[in-house]
Amino acid sequence: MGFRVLGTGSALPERSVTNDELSEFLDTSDEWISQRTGISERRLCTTETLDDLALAASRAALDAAGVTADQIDLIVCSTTSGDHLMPAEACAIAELLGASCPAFDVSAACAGFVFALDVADGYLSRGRAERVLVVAAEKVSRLVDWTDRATCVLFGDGAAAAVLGADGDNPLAVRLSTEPAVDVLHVPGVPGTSPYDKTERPEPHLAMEGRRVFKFGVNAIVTSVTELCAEAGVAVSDVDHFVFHQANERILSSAVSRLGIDDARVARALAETGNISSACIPLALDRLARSGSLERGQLVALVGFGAGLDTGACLLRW
Amino acid sequence: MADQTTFDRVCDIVREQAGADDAELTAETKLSEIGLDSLATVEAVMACEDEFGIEIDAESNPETIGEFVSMVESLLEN
Repeated sequence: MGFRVLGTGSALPERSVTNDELSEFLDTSDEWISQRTGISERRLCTTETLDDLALAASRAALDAAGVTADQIDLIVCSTTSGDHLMPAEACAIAELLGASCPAFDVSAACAGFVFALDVADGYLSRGRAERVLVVAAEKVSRLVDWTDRATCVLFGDGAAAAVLGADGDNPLAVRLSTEPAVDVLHVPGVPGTSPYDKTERPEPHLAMEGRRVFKFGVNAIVTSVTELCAEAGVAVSDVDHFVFHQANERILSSAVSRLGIDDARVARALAETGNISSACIPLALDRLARSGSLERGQLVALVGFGAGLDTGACLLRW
Repeated sequence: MADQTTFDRVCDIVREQAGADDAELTAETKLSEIGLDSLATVEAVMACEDEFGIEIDAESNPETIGEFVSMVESLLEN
């Protein structure tokens, strides 16, 4: 009892912004950003809304799956940077697709796509849905402080989606965890204008403790892969594709060397997209699928990690 | 004073992280001098956690070899 991925899709904004362009208004350089992050450029929304990107990714996934909007029983969207505080980004997707099924969001930061997959699996396993559209859509450019060179260079915008059908044996293993530590990576809520509110109301800009997030990320990948494989009874070397959250090339390379896995099996999109929060994993999956690299029966390990501190990991048979 | 063995083990980890096998290191050598930036320092800290079986606060950011060794030694004593 479980699901199969019927199709994937993704959408990025048109505008690509290089490191050199950022160094025109920030005290930074292509060399500094490239060496510390592996990021060369990122796609940023100009005229696109997040609704636009989420819709395009969803349509591409539905097309790839051969499923129409009226055949979808549930839409779950992972986002922490939606166009609307309410309703859910998933409601906007439903409206634009012309779907009439239940639609809601999941908030688990960069780990959100894997958390959303697990939510979807619950509906599929209980027989409450036969086909679920899982979307991750993020416009992180709205959350960063564009005067902070330590954070704004890291992120990008984009959306990706997967259509799940209730006719498979996935996930082979799943691990969700939270090590509660809100301040390590945090975006405050909107300050509002209440005349009664006497609390401190900082601007809703992303702040993070980089070294702590780095260490958390490396450990999240290494521990998750080890535990997923043990739970599923497969060797780490049996996994055909590793799709990790794309936060920083040096997190990826450190985790790869600690796990001793073949670097060529590790999906990478970071250099051209930056960190798109929860959209990173489904975007990398979609690229693998569309390049013909993903074959039926192959093992794919997903590990998302981020604010929370949340980790969401699962092992799929494609 | 730094225990010789701990000092040497930390130096080996730092050299490997810096990709500088032959670097002459003293207690005063700054990590930044041999090419360790803040993230590479975290990686060296993580390698020391594995090497010595200790847990080091991710926010600790030693600037010199001497500070690094002292930090490891104080954790080993606890």
